[in-house]
Amino acid sequence: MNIETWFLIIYFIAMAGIGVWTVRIGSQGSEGYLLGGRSLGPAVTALRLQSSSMSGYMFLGAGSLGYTQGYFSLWYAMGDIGGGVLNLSILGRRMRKLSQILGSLTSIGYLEQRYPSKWIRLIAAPIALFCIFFYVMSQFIAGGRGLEMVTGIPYAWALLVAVGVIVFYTFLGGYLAVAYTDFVQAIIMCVGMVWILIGTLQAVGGFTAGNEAVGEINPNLLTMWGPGGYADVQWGVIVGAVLVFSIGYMGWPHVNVSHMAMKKPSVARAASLYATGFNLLFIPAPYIVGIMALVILPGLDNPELAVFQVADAVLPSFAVGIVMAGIMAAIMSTADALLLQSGTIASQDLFQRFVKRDMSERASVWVSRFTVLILAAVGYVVAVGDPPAVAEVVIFSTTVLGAAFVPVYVAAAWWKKANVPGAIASMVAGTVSSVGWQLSGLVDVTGIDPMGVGIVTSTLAIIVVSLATQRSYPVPAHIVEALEETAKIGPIPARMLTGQNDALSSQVPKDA
Amino acid sequence: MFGLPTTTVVIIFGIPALWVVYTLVFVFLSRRWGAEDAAGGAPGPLTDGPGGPTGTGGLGHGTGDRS
Amino acid sequence: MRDPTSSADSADQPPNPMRGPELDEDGSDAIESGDGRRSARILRLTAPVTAAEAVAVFRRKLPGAEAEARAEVHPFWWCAIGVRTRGNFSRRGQPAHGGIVHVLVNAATGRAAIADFSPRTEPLTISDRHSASAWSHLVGDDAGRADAERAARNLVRTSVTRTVKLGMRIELEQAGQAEFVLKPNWLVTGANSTHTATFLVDGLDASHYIVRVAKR
Repeated sequence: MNIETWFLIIYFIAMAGIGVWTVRIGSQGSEGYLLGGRSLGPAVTALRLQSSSMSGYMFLGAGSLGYTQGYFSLWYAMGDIGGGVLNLSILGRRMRKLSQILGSLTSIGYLEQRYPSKWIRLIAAPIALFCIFFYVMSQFIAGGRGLEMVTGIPYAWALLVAVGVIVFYTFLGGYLAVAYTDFVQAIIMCVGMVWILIGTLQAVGGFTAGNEAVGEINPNLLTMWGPGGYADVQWGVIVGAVLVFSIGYMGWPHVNVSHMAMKKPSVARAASLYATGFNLLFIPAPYIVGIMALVILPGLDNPELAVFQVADAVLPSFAVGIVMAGIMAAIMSTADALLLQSGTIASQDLFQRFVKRDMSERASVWVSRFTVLILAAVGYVVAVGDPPAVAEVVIFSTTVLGAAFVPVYVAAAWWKKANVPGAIASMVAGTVSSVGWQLSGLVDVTGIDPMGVGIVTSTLAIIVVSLATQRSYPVPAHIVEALEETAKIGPIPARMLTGQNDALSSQVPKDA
Repeated sequence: MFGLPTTTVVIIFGIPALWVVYTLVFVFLSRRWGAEDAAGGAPGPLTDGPGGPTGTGGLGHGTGDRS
Repeated sequence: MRDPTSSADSADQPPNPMRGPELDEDGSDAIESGDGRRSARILRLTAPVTAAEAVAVFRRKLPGAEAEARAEVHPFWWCAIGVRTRGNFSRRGQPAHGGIVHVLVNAATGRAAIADFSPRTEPLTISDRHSASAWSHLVGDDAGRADAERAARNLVRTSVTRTVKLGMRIELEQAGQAEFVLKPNWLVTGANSTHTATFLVDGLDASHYIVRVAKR
């Protein structure tokens, strides 16, 4: 086995050892604690939000897009850089406040409380599960490919190991954070990515020289219009690329949950600064590395490995091992968190809610585990055969989630007239239109991206249907009041608002 | 510059610059958000004390100061 | 919590930590539930915050105000959950987290919170009994109680899981059924020279919530 593999193994044993033998009394969870409590500082909050993007996508997907499309791939980065601040600024405070008033604990539960109807949960949960499945599968593929590259074992076995380790951790109570904190991992990967970037730029003789060399391969790669140049430009795809990672993230349930958990809205402000700053540094890096890889490794048959191969070429061996380990850790923790989420959605949002109300604790855990196993097995089978590219899968799942959920989440906090039929129509329309557009191949014919189609359809749906059904399905009074409450930050003097306990709002007597 | 066509440079520096501006504007416009923070240092009985609740006897009044 | 051997007004007795709210009925706080089928117990949480203190909170925000506090209650479910953890190789579990975790679940919203104190109860006041009819449908609501118990267990499980070693087993056992309790709050209305306002002041920790405020 090569040095890199040894470092990978040593790193994992060390982390696992720490995880098994130490008790973590770390930061408190957020559910159920009403007042005060330690909240995560803005830097950690921002990094946690961002670590959703630091998964297999960054290292495989982004690199492959850079390698094959040149600077066109940076359109994705252009959206992604703003995703954090957009999310925090639009959803952050209002979602937190509304979820507190409504008493929600999960982001799907929040949707059902805001749009009271069991159909909301019945529709939202499967859509979320569907997209989570794809995203998890992308992590499996990334993990398998990464392991294959580092250790040299064949992909099918590497994939099995990757899936096996992920499922193992998920079953062990799942909180990978016990062994790896998101924060530490984010630092490792950030340092690693920057190191790779610097090494790459050195290898090509500097940013300018590298660009010139890429230009000699195909001058269109230096433009933002794709390898075919301006003549072939697909504006729809560009718009979609920008939207996907800027707006699409607002649809991810596990990202939105962190808004609900935020104890202090002021954290959101500082976090947005950290997020944007961090993103400026980190997000373009893998794309640039992918682009420059054209110069360093011109004949790669699998562009997904561009970043890995470049790292192998420009970093010293020990660094490669550690960075690989950091990447694998990120992949595993993302996959583990998503699998856990899917298990919870299956057992609580679906099974317990609709099938067996008085389900025991043990049964609930078993449904959860069973779901995880099924997803892992199906994911393995799909991924081992002829795996789609990581980039495609991630973009697809974020697109569907964005199209299905962004309008309902945004309207939940901002529009008093958004009602149940509107929400249902929006989720269904968004899902059907984006999935349908993608599968039918209309992207190439029309040059319009599924994300654009999906978002426009779901936004129109919620507006039109809500307005049309206002009479027959009005928004319940307590929700209208809650929204007015949420909007309130001006009229009440700030001095009075200081230290207000929002959770008390549900305890105000009717005749107050 | 940088060996890149002008349009590319404008886009890859311009759009991030816009995000930076957006972030700064957001931070400025939301300066009153701090008013909604739960009062620091006044934990009540219904909070997460370190390591969880004290179940063994005790006075039961909660550990918070009442400000 | 009433110790069965104590006398009637035993509100000052420290609660027995190992027992949840499943002590024997002594009858005096039972209230008929709405349909009269069962007499379920309603208890009132002991509230440290007095009316004067609630008015003081109001005055801190509206300096120089004249205000009046009215006692209100809000229904909660109280669950006491015993926690034991067991390493992978040991046979018997150890009590963890102090042994018992008390969870209060808001009966109206279903949201659960861990209380870092042992809730104490006292007899209902006259006005509580008068307004009991408003809560009686909740008291007898077994589905609501079951939901609350489940929420409490989930919450405890989540919070305990974050503090144990990877792979440790967690055993939760509920000590008795969830009890229906009334949490006291103060509704304070008043005005000073510039504003009139109505606040809700939490009876347990004196935090406040502005119901409405208007410039005079």
